[in-house]
Amino acid sequence: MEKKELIEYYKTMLKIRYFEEKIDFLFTRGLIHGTAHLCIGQEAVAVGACAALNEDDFITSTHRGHGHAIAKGLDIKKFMAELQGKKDGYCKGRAGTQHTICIEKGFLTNGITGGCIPIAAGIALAFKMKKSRQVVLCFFGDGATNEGYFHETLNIAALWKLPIVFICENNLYAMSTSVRDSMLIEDISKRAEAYGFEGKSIDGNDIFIVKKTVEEAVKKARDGVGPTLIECKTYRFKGHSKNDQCVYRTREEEEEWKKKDPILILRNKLIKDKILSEKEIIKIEENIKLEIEKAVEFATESPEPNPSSMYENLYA
Amino acid sequence: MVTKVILPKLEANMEEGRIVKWLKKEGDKIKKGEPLFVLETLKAVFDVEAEASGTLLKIIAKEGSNVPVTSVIAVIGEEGEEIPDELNK
Repeated sequence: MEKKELIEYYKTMLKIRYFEEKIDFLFTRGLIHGTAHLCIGQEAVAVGACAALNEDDFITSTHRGHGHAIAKGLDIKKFMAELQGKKDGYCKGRAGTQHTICIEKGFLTNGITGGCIPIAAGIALAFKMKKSRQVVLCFFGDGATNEGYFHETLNIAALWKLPIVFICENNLYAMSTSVRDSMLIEDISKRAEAYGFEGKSIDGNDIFIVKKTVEEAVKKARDGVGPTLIECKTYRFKGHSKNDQCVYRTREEEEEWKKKDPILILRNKLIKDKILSEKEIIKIEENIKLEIEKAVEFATESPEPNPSSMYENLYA
Repeated sequence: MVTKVILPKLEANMEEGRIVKWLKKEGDKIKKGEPLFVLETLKAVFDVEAEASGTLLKIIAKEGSNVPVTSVIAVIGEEGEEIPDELNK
């Protein structure tokens, strides 16, 4: 990887981390409506995978989707405003954390577990029919792979050789249920074999491995070879949502995974390979914190949507 | 400058919470991330961590009281630091 690229990836990962920490803080102040699922600890999957895409490719995300959105290039000011239900948000404050969509940036999400898996296949089918050579990256968690539509979609995507890459972020817990209690297999990627295509299990905290693996899969999808299932093994440092005390896992396990913090790993590499000095990194960190503060300012100043506009954009 | 400790909103429809127990006394030192008080919501009981390091200067909300979310329930600051009047009622 080019040095310049590496620095960009580091910046994006930090931007996600600080954004999430700010959402965590704002939630306790009653400023984020509904719920909030944070992806702290999983940043390398979002940034590594999206780095393998062209700008006009699409991604579909999950309930834990802030990292994917930022990695796909959504503007954090408009995104922050959306999460606060403000008029200047991506969906005029109506979608919030679970349903934000930005077609211009190729980003869709849905709060239902695995809800975007069949939607992603629909987008991929459209790309194939239009012969546009665009690709869809479809993110979901370990829990979603036990849902019926995961299996139906993998089968039809394989059969029709859709330009799609399935990315499972296996963070070991579906809410409070350990993967050990919900499936017998060790590697979720094996499920691809049942549908006749390739699956790979990789270290999701290593951005280099994520990017390289997704690049190969994207090329296959674009060339009409068909889908790939990539299981990225990772960990969420925070609870499932804000009121989760994590009683289903041990503090020791959390500490072990914090040693594999993807941001720390990349930070150490940047210093060891003399790409950036400690001083330059601190400067980057300060700048990104400032950028987050500006996004909060923008969201705070943005007005609430006018109640008289509530029937706009309704199709039902 | 002192840090206001608020009753955090932890759940989507949470309007208030009950302070079950303060884990520190006024005058105790506290580190950011250390458990500061036990909070009970309609759904669960939580250990709430301090958001700042310093000395617990004042406890405003008493143990056993029900408090609306985001109201100031304590003050953390430097040892001996003066508490602004609006927090010192």
